[in-house]
Amino acid sequence: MQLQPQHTLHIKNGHVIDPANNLDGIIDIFIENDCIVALDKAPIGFQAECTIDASGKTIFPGFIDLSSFLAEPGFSQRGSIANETHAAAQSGFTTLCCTPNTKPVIDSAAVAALVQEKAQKAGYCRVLPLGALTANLEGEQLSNMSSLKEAGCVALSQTELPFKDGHVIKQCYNYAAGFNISAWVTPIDQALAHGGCMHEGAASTQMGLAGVPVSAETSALAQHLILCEETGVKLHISRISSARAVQMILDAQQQGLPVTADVAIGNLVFTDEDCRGYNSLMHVSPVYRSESDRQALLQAVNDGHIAICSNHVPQGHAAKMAPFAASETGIASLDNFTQVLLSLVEKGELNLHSAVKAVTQLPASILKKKLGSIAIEHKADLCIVDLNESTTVKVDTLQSKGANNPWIGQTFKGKVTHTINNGNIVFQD
Amino acid sequence: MQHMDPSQIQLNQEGRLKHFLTTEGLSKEILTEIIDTANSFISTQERSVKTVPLLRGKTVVNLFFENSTRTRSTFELAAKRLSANILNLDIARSATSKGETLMDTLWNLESMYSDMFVVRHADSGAAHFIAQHITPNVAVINAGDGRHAHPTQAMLDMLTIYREKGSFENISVAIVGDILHSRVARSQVYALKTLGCNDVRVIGPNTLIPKDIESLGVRAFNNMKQGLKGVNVVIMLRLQKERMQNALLPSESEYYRLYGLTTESLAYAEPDAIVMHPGPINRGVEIESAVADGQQSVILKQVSNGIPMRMAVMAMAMGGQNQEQTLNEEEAK
Repeated sequence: MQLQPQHTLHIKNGHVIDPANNLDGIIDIFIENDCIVALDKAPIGFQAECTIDASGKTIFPGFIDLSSFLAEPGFSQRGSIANETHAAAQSGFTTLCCTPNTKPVIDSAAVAALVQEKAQKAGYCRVLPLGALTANLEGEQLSNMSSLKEAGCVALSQTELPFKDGHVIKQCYNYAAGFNISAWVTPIDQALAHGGCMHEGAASTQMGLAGVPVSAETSALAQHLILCEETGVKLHISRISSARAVQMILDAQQQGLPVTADVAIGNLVFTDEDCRGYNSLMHVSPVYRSESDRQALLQAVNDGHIAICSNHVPQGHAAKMAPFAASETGIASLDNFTQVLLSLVEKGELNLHSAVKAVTQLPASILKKKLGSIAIEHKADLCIVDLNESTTVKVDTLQSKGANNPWIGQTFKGKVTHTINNGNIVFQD
Repeated sequence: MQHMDPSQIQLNQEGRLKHFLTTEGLSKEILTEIIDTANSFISTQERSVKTVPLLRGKTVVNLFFENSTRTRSTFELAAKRLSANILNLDIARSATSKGETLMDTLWNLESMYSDMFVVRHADSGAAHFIAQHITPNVAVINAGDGRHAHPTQAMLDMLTIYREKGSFENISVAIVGDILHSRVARSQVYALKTLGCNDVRVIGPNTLIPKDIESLGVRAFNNMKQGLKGVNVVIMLRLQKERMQNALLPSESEYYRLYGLTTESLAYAEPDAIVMHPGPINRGVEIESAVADGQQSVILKQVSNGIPMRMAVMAMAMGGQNQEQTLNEEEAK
């Protein structure tokens, strides 16, 4: 999706904020083909085929999402790669890591290739598939890890699905470590979660809903950290939800373990109290936890320790039209991700630099990709935002097929006006 | 999707009851009105002609997604004594698992022009979900949703306590047993607190007491004798046999030894304490026969109070719906 095909692009008068390069000021950007060729001053002989006047606007590196479910192949009634990446581009994302829990699962080179082809054809975002860590994500056999890596999988993930036992985890990590493949997991001990559907606490007790204790996350996390230590695998903990988990990850990092982590945007915004009234949109996994957990997660982002992902999980209308526990999990979060992120800045809960770092520099370093940075010879991936313009979320402007957007009707300050991916303007408003 | 608090959705614009989903969030005035209305129906139940015409011409559907012959029968009898037409639908779980969603089931039933749904469902929040999505002017009565609420049972218990003790202030109430899985206990606690009871205790092993139970304004006890000390009302909960699985309890015998209500343990309560149980009772599992059948037991009175209480909430909710309909029609003019 290239709105205006051009070879050269000049973005002028914009306020550039790039934590990776400590940029914070009015800087002109000059782009040729897919790369940034100059900052501040035009290279000799540069002829702009297209100019964007970004006066009064802010320019960030294109955002990188570490976890979105793109619904293809296998779940086309819930979403499509074209729709979901369009939604992402509308939010300033230029790179997405898609989860392997499709049908068929991304556990073969063919499915990994299919996903990338579809994304390329759509043209909104660079999609980096996460391959399955175990065959068919069943948690029993190793997947064809090396082939998946060769087929473009940026890392291998078990999502939040269980492993058969600790031995399988250890073998996965051992094997992956040998090929320098990162292993990604969302730690949930299913036995301790015991069929729960929300955070275990006062709200779950009062609503009579089965709770997921914090120990379901932390006890699984402890096992992963210990096996990381033993095998040396590069481990990424995807979508943590509790204060205790934050502490465990920081401790592990201090000990020198190669561990990174991210948190879903929803867990920075919502708590278990938002489940009251049996709001099925708040039925998610990992669950929204207590206010003190949310505060600890915000702190970890502000301190630059963890990245933020969308955890975008589109669902059809019927999936949420059921009593809380019987409804499907997840929210569609890509369409409004940036507005929601900026609202946390507006409220003073996140500082702008940390918020931007958590969706640019940090995920780029987790992926070990030369992305998320506004620098010469780097990819021209940019997101231009008008921080002062207010918009109200309306159903007809949403691009995701997911009907489970929790922000419909809300007004946000801050609006993405352009998204530039690989030098192409893929979204403008 | 609008998500209203269950306590708000059950009132019409005049603050009158139009659904009965939970005792949580209802005012003392409304709970007292429910008790008074039920109390007034008790006398009609002692007459030879027991019916009153309050729901004449109305259709009540008993929508039971979970089997419960006892509760369903009391609602059926209550509806008949209010002169309503009643339809019993026992929707086995298998029927809805054939791909028909709860919403599909409801839309089908709505096309039969019913006036009231009495709902029993295994999911917490199911009655609230139905009330939220149902067509206007149809009342929803919660006959038990998951672990969340069983408000008519709780209110018939309040009626029983009121008739035995005269007031809720200055009494101590202990609820004993499986608090974790009990919708009855949650509804009782909310009702008791709102009605002015300042000393509500729950007694059981930690595995049967949910996290942060103190947030409901109760005190938790693991020790039966300490928990029962000086109470005026003892409410025993039924212990389901399946609780012996899933590492919740070691054995029936240990449970009975620790939490069974016996003549001996009851002696720790006030001498005139009453013993209650929502039924059906497990003799020798949670309660000794001598206590269940003893002087202090009001278990059969609870059963009798079930009909007038259900008549009361059905009549009040229908009244609230009728009032809302009239007000909306006037507004439309």
